[in-house]
Amino acid sequence: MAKILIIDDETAIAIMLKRLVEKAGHEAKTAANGNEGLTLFESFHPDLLITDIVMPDKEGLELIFELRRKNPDLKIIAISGGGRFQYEGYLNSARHLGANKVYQKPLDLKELMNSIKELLS
Amino acid sequence: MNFFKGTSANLLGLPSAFQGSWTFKRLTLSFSGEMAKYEKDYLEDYFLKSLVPFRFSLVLGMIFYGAFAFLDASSVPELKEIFWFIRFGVVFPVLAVVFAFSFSNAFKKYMQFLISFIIFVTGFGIIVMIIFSAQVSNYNYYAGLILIFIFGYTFIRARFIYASIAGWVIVVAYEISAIWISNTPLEILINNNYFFISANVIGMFISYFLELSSRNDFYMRKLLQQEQENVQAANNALEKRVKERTAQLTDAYQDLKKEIETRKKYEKERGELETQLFQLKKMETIGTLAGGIAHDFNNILTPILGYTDMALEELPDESTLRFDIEQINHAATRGKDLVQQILTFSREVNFDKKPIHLNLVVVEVLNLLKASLPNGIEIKQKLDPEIGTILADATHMHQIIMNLCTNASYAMMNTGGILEVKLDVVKADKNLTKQVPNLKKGKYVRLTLSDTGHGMDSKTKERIFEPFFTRKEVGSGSGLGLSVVHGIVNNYDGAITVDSALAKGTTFTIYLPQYGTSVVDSDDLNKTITKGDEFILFVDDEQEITYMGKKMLENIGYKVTIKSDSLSALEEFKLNPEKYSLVVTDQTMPRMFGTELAIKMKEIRSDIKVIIITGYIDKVSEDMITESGVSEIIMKPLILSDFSKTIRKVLDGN
Repeated sequence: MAKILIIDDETAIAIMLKRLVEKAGHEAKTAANGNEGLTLFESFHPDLLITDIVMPDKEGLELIFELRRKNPDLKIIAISGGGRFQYEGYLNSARHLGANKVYQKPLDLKELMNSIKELLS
Repeated sequence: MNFFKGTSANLLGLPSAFQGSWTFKRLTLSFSGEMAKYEKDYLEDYFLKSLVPFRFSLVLGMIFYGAFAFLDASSVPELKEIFWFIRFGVVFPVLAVVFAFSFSNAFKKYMQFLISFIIFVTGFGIIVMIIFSAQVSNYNYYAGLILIFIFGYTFIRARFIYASIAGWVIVVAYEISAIWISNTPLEILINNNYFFISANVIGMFISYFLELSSRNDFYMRKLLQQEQENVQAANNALEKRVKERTAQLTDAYQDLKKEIETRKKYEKERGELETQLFQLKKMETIGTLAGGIAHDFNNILTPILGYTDMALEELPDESTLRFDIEQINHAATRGKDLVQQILTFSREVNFDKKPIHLNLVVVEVLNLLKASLPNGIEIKQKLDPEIGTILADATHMHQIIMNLCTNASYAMMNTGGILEVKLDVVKADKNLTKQVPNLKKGKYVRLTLSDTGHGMDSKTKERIFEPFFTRKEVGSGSGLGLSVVHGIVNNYDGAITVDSALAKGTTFTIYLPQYGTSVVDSDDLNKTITKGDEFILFVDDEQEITYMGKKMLENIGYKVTIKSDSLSALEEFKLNPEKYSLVVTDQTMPRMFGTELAIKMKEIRSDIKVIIITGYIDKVSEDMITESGVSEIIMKPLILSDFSKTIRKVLDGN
C-alpha cells in the first residue's frame, strides 16, 4: 500500500491513472499542473510521483528538479507525449533530473504497473 | 627639235570634267611630265590597237593601188605596161612582204618605220608615174598622192611624226621631179601644189589630233584604270575590313552563344537547386509539424488506449460490449503506430547506431521477400562484400529495404518483372553532390533498387516522400512508407533519390556514409536458413505480425498455427497440447503478457518450449523470464536467419 501523486493537465489521463493504481490497492491523488502538485505534495506526502512534463503554469521538469533535491527517496515516473521539437528530449532530461522511470505516451498500462510494482517493492 | 609643254585640254577642246593634268611634247606628242613613264605603255597599247586596222588598210590600199591599173589603161594607154610594172612589180611585192612581216614578233619594233616606208614607197611609185605621164602631157597623177596622204595620215595608223616625215619626203620628191625632171608648166605646178600641199597639211592636222585624241583616250583609260584600281583597292580594303568585322562578330557571337549557354545551364541548375531546396524545406516543415502533432496525438491516444484496456479487463467475457471496445482499442493502437512512423519521418526518434554490413541486411530481406513475391517477379542481387560498413540501426535498414522492395513488387504485381538490388561504393565528388545536394564529399555506400514495374509520372515522383501520399488503394497502406524511408535515410546523413518513367519502372538510390572498410564474410552472405518441420504456435496481438511470422516459418518448412489473442492461444493449446513442439509469443499483449502465457501453458504441459518476442528487452524483467521458464528471447524485428537458428537451437535442446 503506497501513496501516489499523479500530475497531468489532461484530466482524463490523471483520472485514468488514479483508477488504475487504486485498483492495485494504492491511495492516489491528482493535480492538473506543477504548482497544484507541489501544494498537494506538502500535505499528501506521496511515496511515488507520476508526472506529465508539458504542462501549463509549472512544467514537469522543473517540478522533478525541485522535488528530487528535497526528497532523494521519492520515486518518480515521468510521462510525456513527446516534445514538439525534440521528441525524446524531455524524457531524457527528466531522467537526468532524477526521474526513476520515463514513459512515452501513449502508455502501456501493464508496463507502467509493472514499474510501479518494481519501484515500490 | 623644239620641245615645249602644254596641256591636251585646250587643243582638244575637251569638257573640263575630262581635263587631265597630262602633258606632252608638242612635236612628237610623246608624253611628258607625270605621264612620261607611261609612254612605253602607250606605244604598246597603240601597237596592239593598230595591228588589225593596219593590215586592213594595207589590203584596202593594195586594192585601190591595183584598181587604178584601169585608169592607167584608159588615160595613158601607151605607158600602161610601165605603170603596171610599178604597181604590181614593185609596190605590191613590198606591201605583201610588209603584210607578211606584220605577223612576225619583230614587227612591233619596226612598225612605225615600216609604215613610213610604205607611205614613201607607194608615194614614190606615184611620183615615178607622174614623171612618166608628164611625157604625154598628163599632169593629173599628182591626185594619187592626195590619196596616199589620206591613207598615210589616217588609215594606216602611222603616228603623227612618222606620217609627217613620210608626207614631206614625198612632197620634196614631187617638187624635185616636177621641177627638174618632168618640167611641169608653172601654172599646173602651182595648181597641183595648192591641192597637194594643202592635203598634206590637213593630213598632218588630222593625224596630230587623232594621235592627241588617242593619247587622251589612253590617259583617260589609264586614269580610269587607276581609279578602278583605287576602287578595287578600296573594295579590297573594305572587304578585308568586312571580313575582319565579320570574324569579330562571329567571335562575339560565339562568345555570346557560349555565355547564353552557360547562363542557361546555370539557370537550369539554379532551378533544380531551388526545386530541391523547396522539397527539403517542405519535408522539414512537414516534419516539424508532424513532431508537434505527435505530442498532442499521444496525449489523445493515451486515455483511449488506457480506458479501453481497463474496460476490457473489467468486462465479463460474454459482454456484448467487449467486441466494440476491442475495436476502439485496436484502432487507437493503429493510431499509436502511425504516430511512431510520423516521428520516424520527422527524425525525432533516437537510433541505436552500430557499424553494420548492408550486404547482410539485403540478403536477409531478399530471403524473406522471396517467399512472398508473386510469380513472375525475378530478383537479381548484385552485392559487393567490399563495400565496408555503415553506421546504422539494422532494424531501420531492414525497414527501408523491405519497404522499397514491397513497393517494387507492388508495382510489378500484375505484369511481373525484375527487381534488382545492387550495392556498391561511390565517391561523392563535385558532380554527385551537385546532383544529390544532401551529400557531402566522401565515400558512400550506394544501394540501388530498381523495378520494371508501372513507374510513375514526374508529378507523383515529386511527392512520394511526403507523408500520407499514396497511390495504393485506400486501406492498403497508410502512405507513410516512403516518408519513413526518407526520414531514416536523412537521419543517417544519407540521401535518397528516385528516378522513374511511366511503364518503364522505378529506381531508388540510397546513399549512406561509409563508416568502416571491413569486408563481410562471404559465408555470412550465403547464410543458410535453418529449416525444420515441427508444429509451432505463433502468438502476437498484432494480426499483421502473425501473418508475417506464419509466412516466414512456413517458408522454411514449419507448420504454423497463429493466434492474435493470448486467451484464444491458450484455448488452442489446451485443446492440442501435444501437437506443438514450440510456442512463439509476443511479450507485450493486452490481457496477458507473453511470460504469463508461458507459465499457463507450462501448467498444461511442462516441457513445452517457448520463445518470447519483444521490442524492449530491458523492460522484460529477468525475474519474469526465469519465473516463466521461457527458452529464448528474440528482439524485434524478426530477422529470419537469426530467428530460424534460434528456433532450431531451442527445438534441438542446445
